[in-house]
Amino acid sequence: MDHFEQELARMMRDSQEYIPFASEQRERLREGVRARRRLRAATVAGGSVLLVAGLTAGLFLLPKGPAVDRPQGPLTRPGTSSSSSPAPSTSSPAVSPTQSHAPGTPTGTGTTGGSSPPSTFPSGSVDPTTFPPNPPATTATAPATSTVAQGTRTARPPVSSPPAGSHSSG
Amino acid sequence: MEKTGADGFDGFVTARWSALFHLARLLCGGDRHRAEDLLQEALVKLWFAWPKVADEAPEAYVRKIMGRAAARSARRRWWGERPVDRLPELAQTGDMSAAVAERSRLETALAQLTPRQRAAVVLRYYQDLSEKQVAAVLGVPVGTARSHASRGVARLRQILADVIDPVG
Repeated sequence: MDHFEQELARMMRDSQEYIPFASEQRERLREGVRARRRLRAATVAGGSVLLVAGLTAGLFLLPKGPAVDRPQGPLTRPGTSSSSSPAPSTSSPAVSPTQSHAPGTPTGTGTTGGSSPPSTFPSGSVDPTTFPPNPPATTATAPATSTVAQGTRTARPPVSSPPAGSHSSG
Repeated sequence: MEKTGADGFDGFVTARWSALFHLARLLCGGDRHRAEDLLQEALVKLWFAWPKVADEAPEAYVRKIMGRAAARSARRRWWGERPVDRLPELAQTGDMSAAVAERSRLETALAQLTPRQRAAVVLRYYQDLSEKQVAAVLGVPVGTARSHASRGVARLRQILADVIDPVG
């Protein structure tokens, strides 16, 4: 620190004069504190209002957005199970005739697999009652073949049952 | 608790008002009204930070606030300082004491510095801070603070050449 810098520091210190903390300055300071406190309160209140408004708007708008753009999935039907494959079960020849004759089991496998015509044979429609002319004749002549024939007929319900009727009518 | 804090704050302000006001006045280049505004603003900030800084260094906190605000004051519109080639006409000093005349001369010279240079010079030579401390107060790198201080002193050396005689 050279001479000029020392003199500069001395001038800065010597130029200080005693100024008391007057009452008007004290009052001004308190007023400044009150004003800043009000400003802080207003800022906090404004921020809270904006936050609530933003959250409200977000909650109001959010549920509508994704529902519109969501792709529509396959409709689930009440009587069918989605796990089974549709085609092979309806026309599957592997189903044993005894199962097709049984009241509970054949209808369950047949209807669940056949998703295309489920409404025509709801549950117990595979019974011989759906084919009134055939059961008495076939069951009387040959029981084993009749069961096979019935099993194949139940596999194709709409076409197989009324061929004679369709020919006669048409 | 709050009453004790308020009493401590009032006691600090009452005891240090004169010194802080002089610092503010030097930082503002002698502008008394701006100095009072600067000090009031710093003390209001100190009031809200008083519970944190009361037991540590409240004066250093005020000094930092005033130093940074004074250094930033060039960006404010109400700061109408313009550098001039010649010193403005000083008031008649016929019946003024030599100390007052010297102070006026010093403040007039300080007013010709840029706010950053003035803040660096005042903190360096009046507050007797090191360059590192000046940099910390102003929130700038040490090299920047050193540059501001050296340029400010060089400028003051030109202005106050007739007041402070160089010693060989």
